[in-house]
Amino acid sequence: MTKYLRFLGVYAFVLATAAGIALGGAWMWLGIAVIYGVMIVGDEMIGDDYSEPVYAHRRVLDALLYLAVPVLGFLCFVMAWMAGTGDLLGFGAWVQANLGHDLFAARAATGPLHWLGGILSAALTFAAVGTNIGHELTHRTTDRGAIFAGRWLLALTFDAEFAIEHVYGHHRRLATAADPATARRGEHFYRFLVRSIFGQTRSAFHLERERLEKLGRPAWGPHNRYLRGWLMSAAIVAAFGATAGAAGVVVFVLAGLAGRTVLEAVNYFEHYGLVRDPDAPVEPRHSWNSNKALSNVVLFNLARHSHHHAEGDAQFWQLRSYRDAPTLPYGYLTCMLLVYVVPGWYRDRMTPLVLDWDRRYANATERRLADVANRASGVPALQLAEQGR
Amino acid sequence: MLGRLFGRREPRAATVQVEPFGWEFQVEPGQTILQAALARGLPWPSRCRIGSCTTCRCRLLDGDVRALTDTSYVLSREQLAERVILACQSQPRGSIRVHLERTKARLRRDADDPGAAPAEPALPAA
Repeated sequence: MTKYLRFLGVYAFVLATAAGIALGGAWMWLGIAVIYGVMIVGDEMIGDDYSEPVYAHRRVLDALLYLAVPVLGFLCFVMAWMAGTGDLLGFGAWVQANLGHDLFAARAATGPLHWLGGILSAALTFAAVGTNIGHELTHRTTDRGAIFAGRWLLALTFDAEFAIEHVYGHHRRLATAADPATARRGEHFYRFLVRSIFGQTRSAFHLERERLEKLGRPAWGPHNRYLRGWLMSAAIVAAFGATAGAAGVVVFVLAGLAGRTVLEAVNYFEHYGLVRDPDAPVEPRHSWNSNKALSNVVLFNLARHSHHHAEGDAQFWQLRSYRDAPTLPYGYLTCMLLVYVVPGWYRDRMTPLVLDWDRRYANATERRLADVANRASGVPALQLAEQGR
Repeated sequence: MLGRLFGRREPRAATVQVEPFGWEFQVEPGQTILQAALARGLPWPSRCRIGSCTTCRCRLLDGDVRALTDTSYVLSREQLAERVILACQSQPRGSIRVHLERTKARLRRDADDPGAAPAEPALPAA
């Protein structure tokens, strides 16, 4: 039973974020503080989990994923209530009567700097729950309901197009120069962030336009899933505007955009510096893997990334540990924080791991590609390593 | 009469014939062509299994398939016109005949690999 229920853990983080925003004032920072604090300390203390349990109840596992839709809907409602002015749906009166908490006073005591914490907490929650579960669901390309729910979850971070670019772009081009979502050797995170976001949105648009061309349909029309994705995000923005006015729109848009950068921080470290011959298959060695127990429980085994890319049709509960695959130096949230705060330091931290990858994992073609990448990296330690070999 | 119209038809396995190799195997209801082929131990080329890389593509000569995903993202207009399908995303509707091409690019996969790489992942348990 615990092997199922442990996946509920991430929803405690959503509740922490929602509660923090509802408490107002400095409590607005609760979500981000709890998530980073628990994850960084927990991953260090609990360590790795290589177990590969067998699951019999697929419906339970699916329910754990779909739970994200109402739970994130509730978080958005709390955000809209606090950003607005009235008493949306009588929620303030209800909380006052049943929980004894004065939401009106909390709202009055909340300034812009407090809201910064609320927005960053919501952003991290949108990404950890919305983007992550949206990713899992939009991989189920054979299941219309999963695609529908997954795209709405991704629309929270203005990224419903992920359902196109990730499956038909990123998985196909992984660890090659053609993939905007693979970080190059020596590339600084904030440079990657811009290249990756623009590259992916461009790729999604082109993939969709080419698909419609092949089917003989107009590029600009109701069949265009790229445009429909943006309309979904626009609908959420409009809902915030209708319920919480301009302040609601600002709060949601900032949270969504900041949430989008979380995905890029994860993209950055998941494949940093790895190379592959475009004509050769994707193997477990083309991802940085992690078996940190807490990262995997909270992110539905996303950190078991080597298996995910080698076998894209595996469900999250089927992902194996691949303990011999190239491994990240820390858990997911730790890597994320380092990438944001000290990107140059994280890049240098990866240099010996990348060189180790060249020695132990790369095949002959990949070593040649690695030499080119090292030369172009601008990182002296990488350039010197090549000369010394 | 109504029973025949609305009643559940017994699902039946379909036969797949593969040219030019002369392979012939059964695909159980709910299975894809690729899953059935790999379960039989046939060396059908495949990589991503999510309808993205097109390694498992083949050409439909006779019969019809149900495509699980939209192959129009990854196949060219010419391939779509020639009835190219992806084995990993196709369930036969009745018995079919396909043509599987073998190109150098698809055979070289094992030639260039050191022992360091973990083995090819097995099919997930259903």
